[in-house]
Amino acid sequence: MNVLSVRNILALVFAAFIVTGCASQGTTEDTPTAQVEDSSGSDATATGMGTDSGLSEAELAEQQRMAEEEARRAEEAALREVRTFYFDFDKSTIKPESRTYLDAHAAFLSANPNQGVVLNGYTDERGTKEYNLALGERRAKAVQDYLRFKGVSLSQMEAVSFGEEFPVDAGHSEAAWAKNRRVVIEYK
Amino acid sequence: MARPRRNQNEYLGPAIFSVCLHVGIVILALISWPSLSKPDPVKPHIKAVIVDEAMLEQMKQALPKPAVQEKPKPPEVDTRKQMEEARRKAEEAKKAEAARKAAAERKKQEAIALKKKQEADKKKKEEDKKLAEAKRLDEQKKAEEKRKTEQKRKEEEKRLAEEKKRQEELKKQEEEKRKALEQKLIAEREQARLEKAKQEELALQQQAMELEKMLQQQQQQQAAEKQHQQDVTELERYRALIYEAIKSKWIRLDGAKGLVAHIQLKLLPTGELQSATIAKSSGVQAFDQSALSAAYAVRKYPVPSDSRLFEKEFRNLTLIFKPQQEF
Amino acid sequence: MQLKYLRLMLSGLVLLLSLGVRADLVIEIDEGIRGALPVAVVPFSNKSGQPLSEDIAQIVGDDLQRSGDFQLLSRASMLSLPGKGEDIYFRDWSILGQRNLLVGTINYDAPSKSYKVQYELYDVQTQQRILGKVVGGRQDQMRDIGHSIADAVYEALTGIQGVFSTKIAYVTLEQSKSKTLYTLEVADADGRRSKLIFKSPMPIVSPAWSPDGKRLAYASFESGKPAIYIQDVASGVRTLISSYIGLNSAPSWSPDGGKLAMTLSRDGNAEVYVMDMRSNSLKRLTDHWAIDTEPSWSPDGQSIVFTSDRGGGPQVYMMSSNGGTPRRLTFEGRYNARPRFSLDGKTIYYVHQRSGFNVAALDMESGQSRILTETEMDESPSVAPNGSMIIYATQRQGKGVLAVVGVNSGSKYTLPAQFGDVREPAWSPYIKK
Repeated sequence: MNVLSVRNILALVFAAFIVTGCASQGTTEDTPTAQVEDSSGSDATATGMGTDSGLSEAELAEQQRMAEEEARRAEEAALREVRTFYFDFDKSTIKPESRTYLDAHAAFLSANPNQGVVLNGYTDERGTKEYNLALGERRAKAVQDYLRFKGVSLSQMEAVSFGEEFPVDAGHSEAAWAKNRRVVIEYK
Repeated sequence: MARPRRNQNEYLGPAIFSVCLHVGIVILALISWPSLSKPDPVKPHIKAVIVDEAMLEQMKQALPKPAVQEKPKPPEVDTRKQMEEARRKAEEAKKAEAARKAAAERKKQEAIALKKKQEADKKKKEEDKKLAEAKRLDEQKKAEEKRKTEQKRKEEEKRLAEEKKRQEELKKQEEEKRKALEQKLIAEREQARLEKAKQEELALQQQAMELEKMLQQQQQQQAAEKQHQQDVTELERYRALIYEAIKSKWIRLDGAKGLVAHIQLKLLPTGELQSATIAKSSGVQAFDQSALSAAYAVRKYPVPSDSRLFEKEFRNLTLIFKPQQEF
Repeated sequence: MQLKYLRLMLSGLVLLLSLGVRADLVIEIDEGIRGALPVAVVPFSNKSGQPLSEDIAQIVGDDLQRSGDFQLLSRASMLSLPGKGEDIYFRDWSILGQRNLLVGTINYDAPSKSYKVQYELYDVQTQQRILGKVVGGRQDQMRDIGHSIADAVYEALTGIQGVFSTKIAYVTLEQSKSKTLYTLEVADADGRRSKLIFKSPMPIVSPAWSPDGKRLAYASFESGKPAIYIQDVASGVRTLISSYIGLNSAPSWSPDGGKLAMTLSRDGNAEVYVMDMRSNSLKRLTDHWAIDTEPSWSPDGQSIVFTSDRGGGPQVYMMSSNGGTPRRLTFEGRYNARPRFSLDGKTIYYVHQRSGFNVAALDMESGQSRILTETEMDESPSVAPNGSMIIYATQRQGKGVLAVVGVNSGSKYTLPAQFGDVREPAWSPYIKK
């Protein structure tokens, strides 16, 4: 038994390393692709313009960089527009499609340590009120943990739950309920 | 078959008596033996033989004849034999001499003897006479004695005979008594047996009577039972009907399990309720109330039309309300 | 030998016969029918000389009808309207199949400036009087008098204490384009005469009566996040009890009123805590990364039942009120929550999901459970203080309403519709005056 557990631990450690490696690759993946695209674009214009633009190479590079920066920020801001994240019934697992947007929030928040957010957790109307209060809190905390993992400081975040209250859709259908099972990031 | 006690006790008395009697007899027998001493032993008779001339002659004749001297035999050539012969002859001569002597002696003796004998005979005759006399006397005496003894014997015999007779008599009596006892016992036993047989017969008779009575009763009972069975069937039928009637009217309360109320009903032959009262309260007024209410809610109780059965079972009726389940 | 045997047979037969010779046949009745007792409540005769604002007999009749244990005779069917016992012609009622009859007369007593309501309850069949009493009160107490008469009749005929004079607390949400308003209200058990206790633009949840019926504990989001308050019903005085970081909700009073169980997530996730009201000390009872919430005390104060999803989904658990290893109680279905003990502590009522959500009852001894409601979006069951009825929140035509279901009787009714959504009912205990 002992041998097995040691092996398991080793395997876990090994896997962890691999995962960390992949993850770190992931976070940096987004920006490089954008940059590559942009640079290729700007390269094209640069070559199109020829040598008689009058700008120095350094200035051109700076312009290009600033444009890229602008575009990136715009994209980030667009991503951050998405403030609501959805969950399955009685679940508090963050869906894969939410990650992109959460990451944008994480990036922004970690870059702006003075920015605070409230994470509001909600559930659909089914089930009992108090349990839903706790479930809403768990969803909010799930988002909080994710952001923390992404580098956001705990002091910037507050997790609050309203449970069944304040549904987005007061209807009594699956569609309505799906809309209500959410966490909303509220920028203070 | 065991002897009844009664008889056993009665038998004991006569048994003891019989035993005592026998012992007594035995004792008596023993006692009488010594007193009746052995009879005088018979004195041996002198067996006198009457000697007469004839007999004497006979006696003489009987005497061996003197030996006839034999002629000496011509001498044998054998010297030894001659000597022997001579010797023999001498011896023989001696013997003859002796014999003669003897014979002479004998003759003498005989003559003496004869004389003696004659004398003796005379004496004898005299003696014989005496003897005869004596004998006669003796014989007389003897006869007397004999007679006496005979008498005695006879008496003795008689006595013995009588004794014997007596004893036999006694014995007989004994025997008779015993027989009588035995008879009595037998008779008693017989009687007892008869008694018993009689009793048994009586008992049997009684049994037979009882059996018959029982049979009769049985028949009666069977009839009654049949009736009873019918009653029971009817009873059960109406019981079930009443049960259903009450059940359908009893609006049960919650949490009534464990409560028991007794309602006493008085019905009329029509089935109508004359009265219903709480005979035993459950302790919860509302429960009693619900039971009473149910009893009253049955407008007409199903009751048998047979008035006998009605009177027996249905005029007075008790309902026990005892819910078995929580709702 | 033969003789002996015969004698035995004989005695046996005699015995058999003798059995039949008893005078009294006995029939045991072990079952009855479930049903409503037929009762006629005659409109009370008003001899006070003044018009009355309330129809007392109507209040009594409605109470009895709602309990599910009685079948009221309609007024239209009544052949006569006696006001007191001596006026009753019993045949008028027996032919209508009535078993019980309530009559009453109201007089005005000038010296005391109060109304005297005399009522009498009769058994129609035996013609015996079961109850007879006079109750006094002012005009504005007529409803209370009506409820007290209903209680008396209910108890006389069922043996169970009535709950018609008790109260219910609940939350309503009024939502329009311009405003959102939550109100905590207390009304009579029949939903009438509601009184505002507290209002807020933010949610109010989990009202809980103190055992003496004088205070209400609840969670209010007025500060933006849930905090527990205790409010005195009569005076309106509020006291903040708990506002730790995270959740402060689901307050539940111990039977002696000395402790308050609650849900706090100050340690990271929702756990059950008990606060001692005298010392203000706080004790954590559960210790698990799962959600532990909705605590409720047993009538003997020894145990606490609560909801936990430590098993993967919400289920009902029970633990000692001092803490300790919880024991799971529900095993059917994937969602069982919000447990409440019955009055005798032998049953637990809770919310169970099948296709929809229903109120269910779990028998503690047998482990058997049954569904009590036919409505489908049921929540927040609360047990009446006599244990015979349960009030709960449900939806009717998309709107939140309160409904009552009898535990054993066929009682099923919805409380009168109000503005907005009604939810979170809590049945008061018997209020000690």
